[in-house]
Amino acid sequence: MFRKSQIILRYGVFLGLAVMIAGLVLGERLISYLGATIISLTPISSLASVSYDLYSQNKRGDALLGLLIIAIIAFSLLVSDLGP
Amino acid sequence: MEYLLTMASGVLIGVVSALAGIGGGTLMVPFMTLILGINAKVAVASSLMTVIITSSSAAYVYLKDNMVNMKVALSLTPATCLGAVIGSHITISLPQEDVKKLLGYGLIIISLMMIFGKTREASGRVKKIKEGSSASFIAGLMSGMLGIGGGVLKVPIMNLVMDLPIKEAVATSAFMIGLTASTGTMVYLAKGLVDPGLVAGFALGIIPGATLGAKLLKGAKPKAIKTIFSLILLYAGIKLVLG
Repeated sequence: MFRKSQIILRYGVFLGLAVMIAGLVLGERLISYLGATIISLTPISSLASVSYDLYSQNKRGDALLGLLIIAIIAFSLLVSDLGP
Repeated sequence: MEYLLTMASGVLIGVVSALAGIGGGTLMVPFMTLILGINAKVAVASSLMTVIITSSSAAYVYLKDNMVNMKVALSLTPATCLGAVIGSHITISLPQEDVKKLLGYGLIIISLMMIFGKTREASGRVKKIKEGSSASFIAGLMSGMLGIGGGVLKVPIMNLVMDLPIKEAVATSAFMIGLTASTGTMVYLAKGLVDPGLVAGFALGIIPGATLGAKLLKGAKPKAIKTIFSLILLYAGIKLVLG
């Protein structure tokens, strides 16, 4: 169950970590921040995949909750520019 | 040299976390602020990102073994994520000294929970989702504010309040931690408070350290180790509060 979500979790963070280390080795701040962004997006991508699987299984209520979480995370990004 | 030091610290934290059965964030933040002398906000932000890396590996295993109660995870995560957004904004808006005090109080609460925390045999019939959601909001708030995963709160909530068996609660919490930490990290990342060097160093140390700790666990006494490290956390908390 949730096979795609497992794959995303397994390889997403390692990909992000590899990109981050590459950025540090090359001294490219932007690349290391790209790695950090990949790591941050991994659990969200995994959740999006879970929501899709639940929707496919006709568990629409649960799938909607998954989308609500993604919306809250997107909201957190939007409001992060409003603070001090 | 700096990276090697963080990596070596990561190995140590990984071993201790596995032996004491706690998340890395609880140890990482006081280690960074008290021993490495890193800015408290940067320590919280970098710890939270490292938590994503470590919790994702655990969540993968639990998802594979079908141990995550997805219905509970999806019901509680909106509240924890909302808490994490607010918590991270609180930390960002506070002055550095107040953040240290906040960390100190948080560590004192966590260490007391570790010393006096209990688990129980549960029926597995999920109940009190509303109460669980409210308590999860607090767990999210602490996660965002202190740079920890929040499992120390989520697991007892699911086990004691919602009647989830302890193993299922641990697995569900691991899945939720990645999402909560990700929410808080987004806020810190947008503010440029995450230090990629610290994250990479700690993550590269914690992963083998936790594996080593899990192997050492066979011959160790987890309860005694947990009590010892709870007392160390209590000491670190008091030290941060007193400045």
